[in-house]
Order: sequence, then structure tokens, then C-alpha cells
Amino acid sequence: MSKKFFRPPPQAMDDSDSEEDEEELLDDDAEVDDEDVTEVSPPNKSKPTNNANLSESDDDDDEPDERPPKRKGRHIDNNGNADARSSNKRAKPTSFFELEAEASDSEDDDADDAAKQLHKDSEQMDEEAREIIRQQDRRRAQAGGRFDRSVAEISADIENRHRAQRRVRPPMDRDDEDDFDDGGAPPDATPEGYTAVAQQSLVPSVSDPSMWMVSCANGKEHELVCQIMNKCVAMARQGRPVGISSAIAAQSKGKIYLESFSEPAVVDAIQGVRGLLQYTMRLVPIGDMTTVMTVTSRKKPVQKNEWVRMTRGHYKHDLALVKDVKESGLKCVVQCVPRLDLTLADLPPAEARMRRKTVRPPQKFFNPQEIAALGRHGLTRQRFPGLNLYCDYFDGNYYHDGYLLKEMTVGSMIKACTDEDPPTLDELQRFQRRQSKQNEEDGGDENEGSKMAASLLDELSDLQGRTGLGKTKTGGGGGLLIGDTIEVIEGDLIGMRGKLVSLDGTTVKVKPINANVDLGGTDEIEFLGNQLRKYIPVGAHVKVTDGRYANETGVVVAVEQLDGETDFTAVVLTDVTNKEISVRTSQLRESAEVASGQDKLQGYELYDLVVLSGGGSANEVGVIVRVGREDFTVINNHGIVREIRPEELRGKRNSTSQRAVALDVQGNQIRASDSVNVVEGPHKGKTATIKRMSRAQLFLHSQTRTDHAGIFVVRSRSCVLAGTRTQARGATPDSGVSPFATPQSQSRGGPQPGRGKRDDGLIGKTVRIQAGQWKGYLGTVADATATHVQVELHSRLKKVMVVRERVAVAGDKFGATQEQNRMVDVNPNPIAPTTPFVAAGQTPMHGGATPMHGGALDGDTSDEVWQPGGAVDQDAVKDDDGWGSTANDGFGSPKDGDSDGWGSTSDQPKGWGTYPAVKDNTVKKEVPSTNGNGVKREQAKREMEAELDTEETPGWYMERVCVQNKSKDKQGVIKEIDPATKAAVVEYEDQTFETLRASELAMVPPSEHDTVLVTGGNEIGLEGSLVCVDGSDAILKDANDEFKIVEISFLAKVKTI
Amino acid sequence: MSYDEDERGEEDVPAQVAELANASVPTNLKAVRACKRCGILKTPEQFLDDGCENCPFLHMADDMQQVNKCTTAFYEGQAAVMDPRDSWAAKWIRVDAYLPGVYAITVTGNFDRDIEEDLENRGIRWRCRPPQN
Repeated sequence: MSKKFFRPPPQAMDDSDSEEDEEELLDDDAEVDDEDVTEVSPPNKSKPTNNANLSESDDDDDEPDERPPKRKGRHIDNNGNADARSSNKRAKPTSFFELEAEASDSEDDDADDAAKQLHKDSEQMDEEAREIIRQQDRRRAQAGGRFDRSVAEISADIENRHRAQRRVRPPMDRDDEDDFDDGGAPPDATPEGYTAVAQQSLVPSVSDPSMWMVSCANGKEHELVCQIMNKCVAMARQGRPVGISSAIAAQSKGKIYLESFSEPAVVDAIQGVRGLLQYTMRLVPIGDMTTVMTVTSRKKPVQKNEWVRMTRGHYKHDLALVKDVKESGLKCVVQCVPRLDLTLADLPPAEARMRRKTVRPPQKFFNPQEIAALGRHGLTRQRFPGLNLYCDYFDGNYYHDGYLLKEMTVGSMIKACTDEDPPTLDELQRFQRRQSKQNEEDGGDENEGSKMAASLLDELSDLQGRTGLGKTKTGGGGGLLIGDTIEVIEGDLIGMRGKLVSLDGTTVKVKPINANVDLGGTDEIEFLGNQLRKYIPVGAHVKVTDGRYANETGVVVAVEQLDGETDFTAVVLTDVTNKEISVRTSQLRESAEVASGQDKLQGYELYDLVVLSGGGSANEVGVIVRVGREDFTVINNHGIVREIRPEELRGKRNSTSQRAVALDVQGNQIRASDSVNVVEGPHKGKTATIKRMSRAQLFLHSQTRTDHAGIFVVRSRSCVLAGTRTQARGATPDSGVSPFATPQSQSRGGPQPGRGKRDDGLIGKTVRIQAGQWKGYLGTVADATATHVQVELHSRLKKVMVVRERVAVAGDKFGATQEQNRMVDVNPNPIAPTTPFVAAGQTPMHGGATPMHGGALDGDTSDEVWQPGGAVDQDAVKDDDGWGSTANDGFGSPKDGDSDGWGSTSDQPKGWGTYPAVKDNTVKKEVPSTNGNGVKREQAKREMEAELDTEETPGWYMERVCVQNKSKDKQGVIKEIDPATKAAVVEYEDQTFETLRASELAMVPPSEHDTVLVTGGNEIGLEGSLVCVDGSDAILKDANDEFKIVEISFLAKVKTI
Repeated sequence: MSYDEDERGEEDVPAQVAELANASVPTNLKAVRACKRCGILKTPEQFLDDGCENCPFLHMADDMQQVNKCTTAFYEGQAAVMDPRDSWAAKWIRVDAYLPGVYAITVTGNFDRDIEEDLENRGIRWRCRPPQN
């Protein structure tokens, strides 16, 4: 339908179309026509806002009654129109338009037109119409339109509009400048007169339809607008037009705009359109409507002979020149330097595919002879489709003059070089085909693209004030810049030095430095560029501006003129590498700048841990200690320094290094950025930071070292973690999870922080469990108490509690001495070093031994020893883990008054000292037997059996725990426990202090509402208030008001601070 | 055309509705081109089949070369104009004198010199603007 309907030329049935037709028929009359227009409607044109379109429509709606004839005329028109349409849009209108044309020679606007049609000879009517138009124009000028109309009027207006049958209005389009001027810049009349002022007069007014915004999915705007359009078209065809006047998808993401006089119409229009969120509909304030319509063009068509850059494939980032634009700028033919990989064809397909993906062939001009010499087939001469160019056709591509010609899609395949990203000199140089080669091949003209590159090169070189670039290299005075010190090397003034004042093509102006030269009044002398050379004195600090060593800095150690060279060569000792490099003086500039070297080369940076390829070893890694212009210096894991090219590197391992953990000689975990002391080897005694680590090799960085950027390689076992971070590590990472953390940190906060320190000796160390269920397992000590350590097993995700003496620091031969070393720092006493270790490892055993001893020594007190158990109600005792266990522990505590508890072990008369460690049941039976207390014996036995692995010192024997002096029956709180002797300082309620041993103390059994500390079991370390006791279980409420059920034997009453 | 017949059956079909009923909408969301002169958006095929309804003098119908010359893919924004007379947006982008259809908000491009001259001679203005840098 549309095909038929929109067949172009005779689009008639209204004046505009007819005009169009007329124009086609009588092209020459176009201007006459226009003149006619201006003549016929002078009043119109004289109005400042002569908006023929609007004036006419205003006309229609405001004066419907005044001008019935006009409407009638329209009506007739309309009918005629409809007829024309329905029968054949193209065939009939000709006559219709001719009729129209006959009727009125001026087609300026419909009002005139219609009026004329009915009253062809009546000038009066015409005048009347004009008068009305004038009125309308005035009104419009005042307020931009129908601001004061009633609803009825508006509806009448709409109705009239629907009746209006104008369409394209060529007169407007044809408005030429004169018309425009005459008409006082009527904006509508000059749709293309896009001046800001003209546009300003188009700002929306209240009489214009309102605009609603509707949200939609991002990117669907265009589609939705088309859908709405389709819907409106379909509805119109059914004779039920949707009352919206436009739908707009501008550049606001996820929003479309609909324009209508009525909101229901908008709702109607978006009803059933998928993807529109109807509830988001919102009225756009009239002031924001212009903003909605503001778009900035993002896409830009490429133009012929424009420089572009490839955005995809092997040619990505390559410079190319647009040779031809196709499909109205969507596609273009570009010329670029080929990257042909001739080896591909010889490879098996899979490998070729791989290679195609990974290897980017270098830029190289296409050489048909070379291809032919390789014996390749398929090289033909062919015309490039669409261009009148004969090209070499090879492997699906066209090559012209050695360049690749390729059709590309603009936008996706190429993009124009922007101002920020212009073609660089380097690129242009590569693009430029050397003249000599060119001649060899074609013996004729240089390629156009090459010429363009050359000319742009020259332009750029000129801009940069340099010569010696491109083809127009002008001999001598290369690299001269204003401000340079120069020396005259030719002519009378040879040897004179001066400062370069200005550059002008080949001549330069120089201001001499030496005052003793008589210049005859002038202070500037002009030279030719090649009469001068840049003067670089020996000793000057220079920067290389160009060439292979560009951006290096250094000190000039010598300047010499090599044989056969016009330019001087300077030997520069570089700042970074301390190497001597030879550079032409033209490439140097005096500068105080000290280059820090490159910081990056092909993605690798200084101090990167890299994997090296080659060199035999598969796992060779190293750290980059220098980044050069085209290579790196790498120190490998054996400490060997090598120069490595980027291609030899197989990626970075920085993240691995960051995660890696190694053990120092003490078994401390060390990580990257830890500070360590080197204890053996050639670097012994140095303190450095771990920069990178790879397995057991540490790449240490010391700021005091200058060689290899401060990096040296040491085995992790030759280092010891420096500083106090051992403790920090033990406490911080685990504090959240360790059940011991709470009491410990609390005790540290207490009166004697010393205790924590002792315990920390093991924390963080790797230990091997030497007995028990976990015998043989390796783990890290996560936490430690006086008697126990919590070991996080390496092989299992598990933490186990182990008696302290059952673990051994899994060190090497240094194990003991390192412990000593560490302690030496803390305590200079030569004997002291062994103490903590022994204390940590052996005290519990000894402690365990003591009770027997105590029991044997004074049988009288043995009942007292059990007293705490007896004090608790009997049910609890009878239960397996009643208070008895605590009592038993108490029993197990060292009882004798020896300050050196363990020393007494050897004195034990019956040689039982070892029994608690062995935990032999038969022996245990013996213990109570001495007491003569069968019940207790049974209890003790059960207790021992139940807790094979647990402690021999009472679990409650901790700081803050409320205790009772058995002998005095006084209650107090343990203020601190001497780590070495296990003696406790007890503060009584009357503020007096006494030092007592564990065996002299009994725990005060907790009662309800007491603050208690859990000393064993799963909830160990938990502190809360005891809510009630239920059999052997105690219910307590922790700090988070959560209830916990704990065996009552694990509870110790503590004093709240 | 059946719709047209229906319309004829009805009394007094408003011209604007009739125009809208015959408006052309891009049949494909990809490869939409804008007429450089009026900015209407259609696919190249539509231009080839029907030409440009607003600019018959460009003779785009059945002439792919002319279609390529006179249309451009470089435009910004779409405004589906159902009622060019009433629509403020149409007025703002100065398509109020054209037929209903989907129009570009801005059109980037240049006419060939000869077409430009021809249009100038006829006093016809065009919407496309050369790209600005």
C-alpha cells in the first residue's frame, strides 16, 4: 500500500504538492513563484512572526464562523483529496493540482489559497483573510499562541485541524533569504534557518501539547517509538486516531516522551505497548521540553582522506586512511599498512587458528614479488570493487602499492582519529612508504596515502619546531630548539657559542654568549641551520629527547666527533643504570630532570614477581629490578641477575606472592611486606622487608641498598621475623575465633600483662603434636594458655586442644637456639633464655606431679584437698564431671611451697613424678589410696579417665577467679599468677594480698547470678552470668543475652571488674 | 489500501488521520537511514521502494545510488511525529510541514555538491548539518 502511496513525484491533492509538481514541471519558475509569494502576501511577511502555518491554523480555529466559505472550500478540497487518494494518489492529482494552480498562482498558504478558490475575483475576501491572519500573528507574537482559549475553542481547533488538508508546504521550504528577511525571520517558514535566535522563538508555549515522560528499558527507546508510531498508524487506519502528536526518543536513556494535548490519549497510546512502564508516566515541565529535544551527535561520518584508527582485530590501533566512503558514511574503504602472516598457510589449521589469535604480525608493506617467490598461489591483479584501482589480490584481500585496501564498517571497525588521539609521528613514519621502495616497485608516483602521511609528518615536525623528521630532513642543525646552547661550526664565527633565540625554517637567530665578540651593534646573528650544532658541555646533565634512548637522563662524560659524522656524539652516563650510552648531541637536551626509568613495559612494572621462561629451569621466577626501554633486569630465585626481554616473561605472580606464607627459622609465619632479619648466609645481619616471595625464597627489599633496586634473595629459613609482630599475629587474627581470646585479653588488661607475653611464645608457631590422638600432626598454634595450646592443624580444618608439653615446635636444627635468640632480645640474662621454654613445656607436667607429692607429704590435708568437691552438692560430685574434677585439679596443683615447683619433682620420694603425664590408671589408683578415701579415689579415677587429655592444673586456676584459702577460710580473688612458679597472688576481700599455691586454694563454687567463666568444654572462655544449675549442667547467660548450657564443672566464679 | 477504502466509506475522514494512516515507519530497527533533506527515518529499502514522501524531488525511488547519496545513517534521536501540525516537537525540529513519520532529531551529513546546488536553486532547504568538531 505504502509503496503505491508514496511513489514520489505527483504527491498532489493539496496546494503544496501541486506546487511541488509544478516545480518539477517548471523548474525555472521556482524563483518567480517565490517572488509571487512575496508579492501576493505582503502583509503576512511584514509581521514579525509571520508563521504561515500557524496563522492559518489559528485562522481556522478562531474564526470558524466568520469564515464559513473558507471551511467549505476546504471541505471541498478535502473531498477532492479523499477521492484522489482512494482512486490513485498519483494519477489524479495532476489535474487537481493544475486546477489549483490555475485557481491561484500563489501558493503561499492555505488561507490565501482557500480564500482565492472560493472568491477568485474577490479582492475583498482576500483582504479580509489577510486581516485575520494579521490579527492572529499579532496574538501569536504576544503570547506564542492560544493561551487564552477555552476548552471548547481548543476542541474546535482540533477538529479544524483534522479537517485541514494541507500537507507539505513547499513555499516554506522554498523561502529564500529575501523571503526570510522580509518576513522578519519567521521560524517556521525557514525550517532550515537554524539560528539560535530563530530556534529560540520556537520554545514551547502553553498552547503547545504537553509532554509526558515514560520510562522504558535502556536501549529500547527507538524500538518503542517506532512501535508507538506503528500503533498510531494502525489506529488511524481504523479511523480511530490516537490523540498523541509525537513520540520522542532523544538521548535520555531509558526514557521516551509522548506529546499530546490530553493525558488519557497518552495512556491510550502506551496501553499495550510492551516494555513501557506506564506507572512511570510523568508530565514534563514546559521549560524542560527543549532539553528533552537536545541531542548531541556522537557518531560522525568519516570523510575521505581522513585519518582513522582501527578498533578490531590484528589491525587494532593501527592508523589508516579513508580512501572512499560508502553507504552514506556507514562503510568506507581504508588504506593501511598490512600485517600479513605468511607462515599461517604452512601450519595445520588448529595451530594456525591459535597463531592467528595470539600472534600479531608486524606491519610490513605488501610485496607481490615476495609472495610469488614464496611460491604462493592465488595472487592476482584485480580491480577493487567500487574503486577504479587495480590491486594485487591475495588471500581475500586487496593490496595497492603495498598497502592493504579494505572495506570497513564505520563505528565498529574503525573510528576517526580525534583531536586527543591524533596520528603520531611514529605511526605516520610507518605509514609512509619510502620513496626508494616505491620507485623500485612502481617506478612512478608515490602512493597518495604515503604522500599524505609525508605531508602531515612535515606539518607536525614543523609544529614541533624540529627538523630531521620525515623526508625533508635538512642536513645539519637537527634537533635544535629555542633556548638551546649552540656552537657555530662553520664560517667566520666558528667556535662561537650562543643561545638560540628563534627558529625560522632553515635560518636561526642566535644570541652570542661571549660578550667579547664584537657584533657591530646587533645582539643577534642569523645563521643557517647547518652552520650550527647543539652545544652540550661535558658534565652537563642531559635528557635524551629522541631515538633509542629517549627519556633517559644522565651526565655527559665526553663529547666527540666520530669520523665521517657531521654530528657530535656525546657519551652519557645514565642516572638509572649507570651505563654509558652514546647519543648524538642533536638528541640531547640539557635538563635537570632525573629519569626514574620507565615504570612500565608491556604491563610489567618494577618489583613484579615474574615467571621466566627459558634458562632450563621450568619454575624460574624473578623480581624485576629495572625496567628498561625494551628489556628488564630480573633477579631470579637464585639471586642471579639477568637481562630479560619482555617476551621471555610468562606473566606476573604478584598475587601468589601476596598470598604466600613461609616459615622463618623460628617457625614464625612470614608474609610479604613483613620485616625480617637475615641470620645466616652472605646477607647475614641485614634487616629488610619482604617484597615478594616465591616458595621458600624471599625477595627482600632494603632501602639502604642501591644495587638491583634494593632487592636481594634469601631463603626464608635464613631469616627471622623482626619486631614484635609475632605476638600481634598470634593475637589479632585469632582473637575473634579463639575461645581463649577473651580470658587472655582480659588478663592482659589486668594487673600483670606479663602473663600473656609468656603464652605468646608459642602462638603462631608451627608445632608437631607428639602424643595423643593427634600424634604426628603438624599445626599452627592458634592460642595458648599456661597448660594447653590450641593447635590449628595444617592437614585438617580443625583446631584441637593439646597439652602444652605434647607439642614440639616444628623447627629444624635451629629450633632451640632460635628460641634462645629471640629471648636474648627480651632478656639479657644468659640463663634466662632457657627458662620460658622449659617453663612452657614442662611446668604442667611437673605441676601434675606435685599433687601426689603433696598428698604423700601431708595426708592430713588431703581431705582438705578434696574439700572443694565436697562443698558442692553431692549430686554434682557423683556425676562424672561434677565439681570433683575441679577439686581433682586442685589436688593436682603444686602444693609444696617451693618456689621452683618443678625442681622438687626429682625430690619426690616415690618417684611418681611422671605419673600424671603417663596417666596410668593403676598408678592413679594409688593416689587416692594414700588418702584412704575410696569415694574420692573412684572419682579421681573416673576423672582421669574422662579427661585423659586435659590438664593437671585446675582449670579454674586463672586470674580473676574467686578462690578460698583452704587454711584460713578466707575468700579472695586471684590477682595474678606467677608464670614460673605457678604461685598466685590472691587479693582478699579486705584488700590484703597473699601469695599462695594452687593447692592451697579452692575455688569458690559459683552460685546463681554470679559472673562465671567457662574454663573447659566447647564454650571455653565464655563469660556470663549463671542463671541456674540443673544437675550437672549450668545455664548461663552470656554478654549477648544468649543462654548457654555448660557443664557446671567447667565454671569458675570470677570477680567482675 | 483496504484501509483507505474503509476510510472512504466513512464520512469526512480528517486529512491528518489519513496522512497518519499512510505514514511510513522504519520496518527494521537496524540500518535505519535519515533523509538528509527532511530527516525522515526509513530503511534504505523503504527509500528505494517509495522514495522520500517529503522530498520527491530527490528521486530516491528505485535508485540505490541516490538513496545512498541523500540519506545518512548519522543522525541522533528519533521523534515519531503523528501530527506534525500540532506537535511542538515537530515544530522544534522543523518537520511540522512534513508528513507524519519518524524523524531524526538531528541529521549529520552533507549533500553532494550538485544536489546541494540543485536544492539551492529551487530554494529548498535541508535539515542535515555538516559534522561539528
